Amino acid sequence: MKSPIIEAKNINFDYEGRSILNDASLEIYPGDFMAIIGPNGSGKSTLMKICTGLMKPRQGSVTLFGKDINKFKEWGRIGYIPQKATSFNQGFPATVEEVVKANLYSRVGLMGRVNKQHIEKVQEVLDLVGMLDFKDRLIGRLSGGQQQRVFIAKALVSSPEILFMDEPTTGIDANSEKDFYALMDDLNKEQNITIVMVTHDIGAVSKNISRVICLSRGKAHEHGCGVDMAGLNELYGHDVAPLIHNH
Amino acid sequence: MEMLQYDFMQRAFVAGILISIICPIIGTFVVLRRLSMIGDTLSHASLAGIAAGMLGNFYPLWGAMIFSVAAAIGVEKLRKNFSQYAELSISIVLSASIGLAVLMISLADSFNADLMSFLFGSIIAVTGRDIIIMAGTSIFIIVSVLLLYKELLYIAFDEEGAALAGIPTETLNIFFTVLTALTIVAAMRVVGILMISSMLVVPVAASMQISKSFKSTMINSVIFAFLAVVLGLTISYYFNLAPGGAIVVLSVVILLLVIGTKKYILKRIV
Repeated sequence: MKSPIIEAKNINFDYEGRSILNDASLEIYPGDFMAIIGPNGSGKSTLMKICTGLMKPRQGSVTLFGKDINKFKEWGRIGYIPQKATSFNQGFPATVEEVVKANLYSRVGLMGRVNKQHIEKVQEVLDLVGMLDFKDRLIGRLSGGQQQRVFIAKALVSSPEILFMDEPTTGIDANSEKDFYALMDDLNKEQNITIVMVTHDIGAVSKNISRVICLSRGKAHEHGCGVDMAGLNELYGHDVAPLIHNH
Repeated sequence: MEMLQYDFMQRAFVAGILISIICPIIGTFVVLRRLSMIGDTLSHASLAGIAAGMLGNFYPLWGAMIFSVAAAIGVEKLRKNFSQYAELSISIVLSASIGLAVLMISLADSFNADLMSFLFGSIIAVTGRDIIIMAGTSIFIIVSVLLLYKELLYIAFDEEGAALAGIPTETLNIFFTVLTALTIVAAMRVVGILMISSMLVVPVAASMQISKSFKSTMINSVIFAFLAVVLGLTISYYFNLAPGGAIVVLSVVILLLVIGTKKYILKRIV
């Protein structure tokens, strides 16, 4: 039996007097390809931010790789791509390489110097996401799908064991979305990276995911594998027709 | 170069060259973090410090340094209270600084030529002591930015991501605002309190028009600032003008030339 790499227990979180998470618990195991779904405002992004230390719960505990989150220091083991990753200042004058290099912090530390090996690692992850040819381009000049790949490369440069993504396909076109899920599948199966994503696009992701967590009324409920959609209509309160992109 | 025979002009040029390096370096981060107004706020805080120096009869630049660093820390602390309205913290500290400056000036009864030189900049006012302090401050700023370059870039681009990567963003934000305060104090003698914030912003704005990376944005903005300072000081010497005004107007002219040239080239390509 594998032990969880991330464990959130009995999480309570309030926002402006309203309970968002109410005794929600979540366990993430190595190799998982997990989708967290649920209606707007159900606390999906909040739970993800609590698991990555970006928000603190009112009550409850989070353990990362066996350590209490308050004592955890190895942040390079965790990659996170926020919901608005591609809604940054599009005029920011940084190249693709500069953006990815910025996340070398966990490898080189405060005031540490970037050496040849680090640059090679940057090139390796850019190659992995198919963006090496764009390394000298300004990040703001790329399409939404290309920018998303750069942010994945940025997260990968610290060699994370788990990658959190908050609605990663928002604002990218259907073709880029298909490529994106193919890349996620590759990272999960070939690179052994555990993947957790908050998404509304359960149809597109369902072919690849191993676990579905639904957030409803402040609690996390586990569903079977992605192709089992039973119960989603009840959860959303209306008919849910998953869209599978095969083109 | 006849003007360089004079000690005061040599000092003005040394001071000007230091300013043309540190202002755009700090300004690049200031502009990209959308904190352009912070220059005005901290310079007005330093005005209160100068008036305090005149009132307490101590070296005015120490007063400027203490007041502007205190204002810098105040801006960062307030920024947390208004996380969705970062510019509000800047406006609050700006208002408090202006109020305090006016009170100090009236208490010290110091609305005199010396104060005017701080407001509008002066070539002849730069002393040997000013140069030593400016050089020390500039070296500290340049070394700090070189050592913290990747951290400051990450925070400017994505503060949340930088925090998750383990970068101590709160501490570095305060440290960066203190660097901005020190830059303003170093530059105020030549450029003048009223025009310092332009030196932080305008060369960077010109550079962003043509630069193809973060590093080149910083380097090009230093080149533009250097041109504006050297030409501005020369013009102010020969035409007896306030150096701050000449330098800032030239910076804007350079910006307009860059925009115009870029448009012309783009038009020819299309």
